[in-house]
Amino acid sequence: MAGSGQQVVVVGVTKKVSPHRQSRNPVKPKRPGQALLSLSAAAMALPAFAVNQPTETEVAVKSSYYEEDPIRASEEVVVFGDPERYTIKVNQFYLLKPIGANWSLTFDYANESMSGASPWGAVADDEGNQQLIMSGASIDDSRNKVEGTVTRYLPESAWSVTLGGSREHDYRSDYLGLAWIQEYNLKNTTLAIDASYASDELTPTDASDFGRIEQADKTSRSLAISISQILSRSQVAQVGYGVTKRSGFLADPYKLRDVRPDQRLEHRVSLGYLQYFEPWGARLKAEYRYFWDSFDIKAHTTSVSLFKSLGQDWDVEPRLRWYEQSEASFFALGDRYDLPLTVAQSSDARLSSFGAWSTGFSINYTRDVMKVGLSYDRYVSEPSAGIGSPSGHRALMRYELLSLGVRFRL
Amino acid sequence: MTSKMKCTWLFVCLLTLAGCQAVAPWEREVLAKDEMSWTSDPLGQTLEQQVHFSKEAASGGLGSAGGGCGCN
Repeated sequence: MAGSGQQVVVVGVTKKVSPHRQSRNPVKPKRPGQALLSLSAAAMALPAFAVNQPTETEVAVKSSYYEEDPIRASEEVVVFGDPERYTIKVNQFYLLKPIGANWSLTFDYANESMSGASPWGAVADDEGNQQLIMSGASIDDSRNKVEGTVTRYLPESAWSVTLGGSREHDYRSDYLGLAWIQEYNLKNTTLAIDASYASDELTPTDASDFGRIEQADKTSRSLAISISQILSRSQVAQVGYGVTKRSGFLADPYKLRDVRPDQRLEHRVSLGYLQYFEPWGARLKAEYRYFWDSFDIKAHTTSVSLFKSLGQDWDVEPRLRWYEQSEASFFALGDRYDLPLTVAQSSDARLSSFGAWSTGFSINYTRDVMKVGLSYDRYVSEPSAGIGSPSGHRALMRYELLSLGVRFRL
Repeated sequence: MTSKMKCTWLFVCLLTLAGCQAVAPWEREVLAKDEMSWTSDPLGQTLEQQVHFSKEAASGGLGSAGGGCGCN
């Protein structure tokens, strides 16, 4: 639960901010690190526990392999560094244990090891053709995350406390989450409220060599509320709203020129729908989220999955997801060294306007207390997949994610 | 979408949900199935959301997750 992310144009941006500046000194390929799961943050999400105490102990482990495609047409696009992107290996462990008559404990551990290159910056000509400055492929890092949740169950409600932390050699994050769930209307309606706070510290590598900030902090505060309603014997719907305020150093310290406001306010509204089709042993899940923030980014996310039971032991779940976002007000296709460090600018692809499709499936085999699952996802982001005017960033992401896991209920 | 429209949408959704008939406890066999929970695979969902968090500007709001630097 506790729990709860941004091109260069020769144009850009002119928003005054408190300067969170970046280095002036490029070169020397070392590591713009950071992980996939680099944790910090908080939970802007909807509570993941139920009102009822679990009756069984659940233990799960999962190993995943994540690989990003190299930069496309790299001989034309990459002017410095390595076009290869990240590969990450992730191992996860999960334990859910009922304690006594009214309590449960959840423990979650993840370890990642990653290597590859990532964009350091970008230059753009007068016609808006972008070229990328990449790091060397020598980035090598790992991350460990631990999270624990204690939940207390009452007759028609439950509350939980989550404590978590994540460590990389250049990044530390600690967070606290509180959640409360209350049932109403003969347990047909469930109200959930989730608040969280995260404190992060960055200590970038080779800071003095590259003119990077040596130490910085940021905090995130989130509040989410959701209502889940049983619609019929086979239908459930959910509506939610969440807000997150981030403060402090919000730029990427490894980019050559990345200056962002030191405050960011995010909002999101989400809708969810589940329906089971008994004659076919199938379940449809549909979700939609609208996101908007103080960087002027607006994003739509829609996902659909179909679970289908295949006899007594097997099941399969194909899924489809579409995402699109507009660009941040200070996004630029090329880094602007003529602008003072008090003016916000970023050529980060994640702040550009783009869209993305992802497709995937899971296949599971269940026998007695054991469930073995294999899943695969392919994610392709590109300018034309969005509904707005694309920024045309050339480092948009494509990746594959393969996971194998096993779960026991004892 | 203006703030007013967003609020209207939310209000309509809430009204829709509130108008439903109650389902008795003994009629919830299907609803009790694993696949009818919002988070049937906590590890998979956490990983998926973290990946999206590190590659997209929007985050949160769908199921559970943990935040992060997501700097690369």
